[in-house]
Amino acid sequence: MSKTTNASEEAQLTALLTDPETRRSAFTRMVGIYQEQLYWQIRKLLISHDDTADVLQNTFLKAWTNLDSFRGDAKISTWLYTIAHNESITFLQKRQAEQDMTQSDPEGYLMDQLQADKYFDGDETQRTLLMAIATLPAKQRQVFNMRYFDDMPYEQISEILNTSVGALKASYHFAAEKIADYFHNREL
Amino acid sequence: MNDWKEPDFGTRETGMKVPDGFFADFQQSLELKIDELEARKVREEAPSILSEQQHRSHRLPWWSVAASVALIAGLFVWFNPAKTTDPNAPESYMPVAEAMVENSDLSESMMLASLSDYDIYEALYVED
Repeated sequence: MSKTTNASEEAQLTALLTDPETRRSAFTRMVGIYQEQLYWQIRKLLISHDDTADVLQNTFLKAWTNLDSFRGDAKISTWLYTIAHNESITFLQKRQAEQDMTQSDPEGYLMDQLQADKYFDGDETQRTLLMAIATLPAKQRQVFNMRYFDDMPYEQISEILNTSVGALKASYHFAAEKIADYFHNREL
Repeated sequence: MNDWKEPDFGTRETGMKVPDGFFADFQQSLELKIDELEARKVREEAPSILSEQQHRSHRLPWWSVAASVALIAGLFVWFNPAKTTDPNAPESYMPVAEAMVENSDLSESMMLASLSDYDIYEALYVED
């Protein structure tokens, strides 16, 4: 499975998606290309595999029902990442309301998820890093994940999160400092 | 901020894993969901035709209306006492109507109703 598409493949897929005759088969192809990338984007935010599977499905269903509004102005990946981000945030807010969590401990749910997650077989450093990331606010967490793990350019993150490059760099900088402090405090 | 060094926390991997076969299963399940969505959309767009058919089927045919009117009229004639107390009435007059005219008492009505039509006629109209 190809993880990325070059410019001509992107243009061809966009044309197929916007044509009612070919959109269904093009959509299937698009899912095959992007499902794994989106899965990991969501998973790093939600931690739990089961929650991620639900949100991933919601993301693609939303993409399908809103295909008419996709004109090809943005890249397909950017469009999908934006939907995935919004669905993830909506999910977290809903889960927060259900769990009746206080403002002072919004990341507690994610910490619990990490402890209980049966699909984690990383080492202690990876666990500590994920727990540190879980202490960040949702949007800052997303910025950090996209930049640190995915090496995504700031310009692309800017399009997805609708935030200026300068603000993103600042956000990433503060996120990294908080994580470093978290590691430092654990060593003490 | 341009001189700031990119952080390195000793790993670029999360340590999280995905169950084997998940993506194949996921895509299959997603296709089924989309099929369901599309089928539901077709059903929702169809009701204008169905409601017309249902509306038509609730209309009674003209002949059933005419038959109902005839039945009601017939019942009215059958129960109408004025017509059935005519001495020149044929033998097939209604004993119930006769009982209603001659006797308001229920027991007598019931007794009369148990008699044959001719017995009643003979008792009332035929002179010895």
